Amino acid sequence: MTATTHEPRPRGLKGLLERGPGGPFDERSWRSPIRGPWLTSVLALVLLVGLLVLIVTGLLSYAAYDPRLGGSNDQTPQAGLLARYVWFDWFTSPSWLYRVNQGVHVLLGIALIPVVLAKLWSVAPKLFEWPPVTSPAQALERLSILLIVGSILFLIVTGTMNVQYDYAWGFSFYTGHFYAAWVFIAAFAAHVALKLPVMLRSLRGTSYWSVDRAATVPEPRDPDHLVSPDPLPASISRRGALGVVGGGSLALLGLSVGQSIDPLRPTALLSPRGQHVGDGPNDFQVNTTFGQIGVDPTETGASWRLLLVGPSGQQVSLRREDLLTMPMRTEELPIACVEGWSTSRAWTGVRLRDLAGLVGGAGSDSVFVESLQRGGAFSTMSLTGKQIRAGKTLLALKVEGVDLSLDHGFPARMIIPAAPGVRNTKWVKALTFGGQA
Amino acid sequence: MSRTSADDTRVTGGPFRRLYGASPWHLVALLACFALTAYAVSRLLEDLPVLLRIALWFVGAALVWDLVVGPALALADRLLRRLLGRRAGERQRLRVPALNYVRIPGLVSLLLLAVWLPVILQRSEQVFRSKAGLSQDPFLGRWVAITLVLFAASAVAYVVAVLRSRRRPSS
Repeated sequence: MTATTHEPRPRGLKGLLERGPGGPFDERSWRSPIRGPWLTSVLALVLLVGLLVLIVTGLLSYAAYDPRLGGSNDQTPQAGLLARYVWFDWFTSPSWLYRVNQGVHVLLGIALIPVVLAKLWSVAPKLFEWPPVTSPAQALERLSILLIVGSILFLIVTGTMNVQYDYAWGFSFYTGHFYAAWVFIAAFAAHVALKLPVMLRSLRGTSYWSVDRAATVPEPRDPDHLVSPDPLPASISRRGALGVVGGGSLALLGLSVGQSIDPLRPTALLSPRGQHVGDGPNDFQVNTTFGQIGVDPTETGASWRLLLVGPSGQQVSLRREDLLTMPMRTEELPIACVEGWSTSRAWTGVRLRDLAGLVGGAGSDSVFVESLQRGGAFSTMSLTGKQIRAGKTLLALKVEGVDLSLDHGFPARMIIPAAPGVRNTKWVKALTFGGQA
Repeated sequence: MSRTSADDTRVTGGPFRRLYGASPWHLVALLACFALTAYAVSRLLEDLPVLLRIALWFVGAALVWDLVVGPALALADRLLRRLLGRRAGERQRLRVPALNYVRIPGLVSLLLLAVWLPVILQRSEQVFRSKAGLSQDPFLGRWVAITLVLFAASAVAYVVAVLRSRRRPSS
C-alpha cells in the first residue's frame, strides 16, 4: 500500500504536490507504533457513550431554567428552533434531579477531557494528510471534522473556565456553550453515522488488549493511514497507554468529585468548590455574595418588606415577623449550581403556594421573583405554576435551624426542588403572581 | 494529484460514487450536519461581535491544540527520550526503561495544570472573591504538592520495578 513512498520522486511543483511539503505531511514522520484503528476505536467507544450522556444532561440542564418563561430564565433569546425541544415545564421531583444531572454533566465532562485529547492524538496524522483533498466527499468530511474538533475543544475550554470564574471570552457563557453544543451535536451525529461501522469492524477484529509492551507491534496498514509506516519500537503497550488515559480521568474525577458530595468535600483539592465558607450551619458554598450586589445591609433589616402582588393586582406587604407567624415547613433540599457543585440542607420557611393563596395566586401559571440585588443577570427569575404548587417550594427564612446568613440570602430566599441553584433567588423583595393558564 | 490506493479501492461503483467519492448517504449525513450548524450560526448573526468572538475561540481552540500543544508535547517527549536514552546507554545494566516513570506523572501533572489553569494561576481571583467569597490562593501550592506526590510515587514504582527485574533471572 505504501509503494509510492519508495518510488523515485519527481521534482518541482509536480513533485511537491505528490510528495507533500514534508514535515508532518510526510506520513513517515508519525512514528508511534500503537496508533491505529484499534486504539482509536476503543477511545471512540468510550466517547460515544460518554458524550451521549453529556449531550442529554446538557440539554436537560438548559430545560431546567424553563426558558419558555423568558426574561432571566432564557439566556439565549435568539435560539429559535434550537430551544423548541423544551416543550415541558421542568420537573419538581425527585428533588435531587438537577443535582445529579448537573453533577454528572460537569464531573463526566471533566473526566472525559483526557479521553478526548487521546482520541485527537490518535488521529492526528489525518490532520496532515497529503494530498489534503482527494474527493468532494473527503473535503466535506474534513470540514465536518473541523466542526467536531473545534466545538468539543470550545465546550471543554468554556466549561472548565466557567466553573473557575474565568470569563475571558467576551461573550456570555450561556450563549457560547449553548450554540457550540448544537454545532457539536450536528457534527457528532454525522461523525457517528459515518464512522460507527469502522469502529465496530475494528473492535470486532483482533483485540490488542492483552498484548504487553515487548510484543507491541503496529497493526496492519489501514485504509485511513493511522498506522505508522515507519514505527519506533514500542515504549508502552496499547493497554498501558489506555491505562494512562484512564488514570488521568480518575485523577481529574478524584480531585473534583468532592464538590458534589459533602463528606468528600476536602478531597476536591483543585476544584474551586472544595473549600469551607466560614463555619456553622451557613458553611456551604455561595454563588454571589452579599458584598457583590450593591445593597446596603440596612435594607435587609427592620425596614425590609416582602411584597406580594396577585394576578388581579391585590397587594400584601409582609414583615419578616409576619412570615414567621405563618405555617412553617422544613424540607431537606439540595442546592446545585450549573457549575456542578452541590450540597443539601434543611431549609425552613413558608410554602410558596401559601404565599400565593394570600393574594389569590394559588392557580397562577407563573410567578416573577425579584431580588434586592441591583443589576446582575439573575436578580429576577420566574417560576412555573408547577413550581408554585410543588409542596416543597419554600420561601426559606432559615437553614439548619438558624437564620440565613446575608451571603445565603437573608432575610428570605427561594428554594425550589430539583431546580438549578441560580433559580433560588436570594434577598427576595417581591413576588408577582401571573394569570391562570 | 495522485490518489492513494485506499481511495482507489473506495471509489468504485456508480457515477455518483465516482464523482463524489462516497455513497449518497455520506452526503446526506454531512449536509444535515452543515444545515444545523448554519442554522445555529444564523441565530447569532444579529449579534455579530459575539458571533465573531465565539468563532475566534472555536477556531483558536482547534489551532492551539493542533499546532501548538500537540507539537510541543511531541517535542518534549522526543527530548525526554533522547535524554533518558543517553543515560540508559551509560548504564546498560538497568533493564527497566525509566521513560514511562517520568512521562506518566509528567503528563498527569500537565493535565491537571491545563484543566485547572485559571485557579492555579489565580486568573480570576477578584471575581471568585466577590462571587464565591473564596480565594484562589491555595491552588498553586496544591498543584505543586500533587505533582511532587505523583513523581514520588512513580519513583517508588520505578525502584520496585528495578529490584524485581534484578531478582528475576535474566532471560
